[in-house]
Amino acid sequence: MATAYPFALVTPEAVIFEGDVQSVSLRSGLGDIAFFAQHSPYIATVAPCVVKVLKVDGETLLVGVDGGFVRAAGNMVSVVVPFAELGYEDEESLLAAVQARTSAALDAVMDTSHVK
Amino acid sequence: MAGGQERTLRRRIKSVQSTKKITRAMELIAASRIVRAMGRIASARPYYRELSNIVRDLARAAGIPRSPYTEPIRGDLPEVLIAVTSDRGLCGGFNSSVLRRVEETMKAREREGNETLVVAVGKKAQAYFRYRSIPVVREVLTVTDRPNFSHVTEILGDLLARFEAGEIGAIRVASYRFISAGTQRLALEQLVPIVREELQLEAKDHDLGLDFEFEPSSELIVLPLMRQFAEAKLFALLLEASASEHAARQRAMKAASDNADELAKVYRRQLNRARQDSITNEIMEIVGGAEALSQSGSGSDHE
Repeated sequence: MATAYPFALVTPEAVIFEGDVQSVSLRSGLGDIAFFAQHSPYIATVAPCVVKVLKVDGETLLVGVDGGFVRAAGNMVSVVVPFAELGYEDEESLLAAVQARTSAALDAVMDTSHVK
Repeated sequence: MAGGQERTLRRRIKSVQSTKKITRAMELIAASRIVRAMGRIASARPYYRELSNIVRDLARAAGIPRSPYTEPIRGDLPEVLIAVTSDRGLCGGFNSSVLRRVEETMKAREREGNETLVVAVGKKAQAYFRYRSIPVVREVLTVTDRPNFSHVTEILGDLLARFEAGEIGAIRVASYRFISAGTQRLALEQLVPIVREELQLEAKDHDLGLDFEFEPSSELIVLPLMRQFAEAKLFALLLEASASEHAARQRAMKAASDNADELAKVYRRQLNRARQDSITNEIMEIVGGAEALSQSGSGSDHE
């Protein structure tokens, strides 16, 4: 088992996850990246992707995000995203849910029919 | 007639009392919503804090991030004014004072020859601007009852992109700030450019002095970061406006319930007076009638 370290995934509406984990992997602005304990100080953009959180008990938590930031500092990693989608078992449907949400939000923004 | 007056008063007391039941229920509902809204303000805080950490680290490593978000306002550009109101009334001066402030600001800018673009949030703002035929760039409804983050994207739409492109000088928000359950204050907050103090670049509480690596690069992170920071601030303002709306409604409904009590008391007093008057009247009539009878009776006896 990898050394545990504190991790947090926060959105404006709630703290989705906060606690010790073994590893976290996600897609950053440049490519896939995984975080283990004692990661060097690092800040990057997060692309729309599925964040895989390997918890201390060996369970994996999948969280769909639509972009944001990740910050590693002082053995703590935090992911800061506007939206997070939970409750899906497999990555494909989670990613599809995130994409559906993003495009729906875009449609809402572009829809100006209600303004005279 | 005295009897008619009594009936009217009785009916009024009844209607005042049933109205009071409604206002009292609304007061209690609003009170419970304040608590929930305050909880939502609290749960938005970690997000804001984490975002501030990133901004601070970036500023330390790469200097103050240069972007439209940190430049001074260009006075010759149109500005956006977001009016945050509720969808329902019965909340005292909550909506009217926001709208008054917006209109005052618009007029002041107009006198100086500056253009203002209005975004109407809430049915009350929509109705107000439509009635006055003031054009708005966007209308977003059902926000303050329970704001969620997609409202932010809906309200801002392409405004941040237009701000970055230099078409808009600033975006301001007219809304109620929630200081405490007892105090809410109307404020005109500047959303972008971001007020320097809010970036908390001088905060030294946990100075790690770390050598950060940025991906893709510190320059490319600045814009999306500032955008997200501005969105987080708008979200915080919406949450505060929501809590303030419920607080305003609770106060208004408490005043209404108290007033209903007072009114019922006054009517009750009038009712008692009216009843007493009619009793007195009746006694007078009986006494008067008996007297008249006895007088006419004694007269005929002697005849």
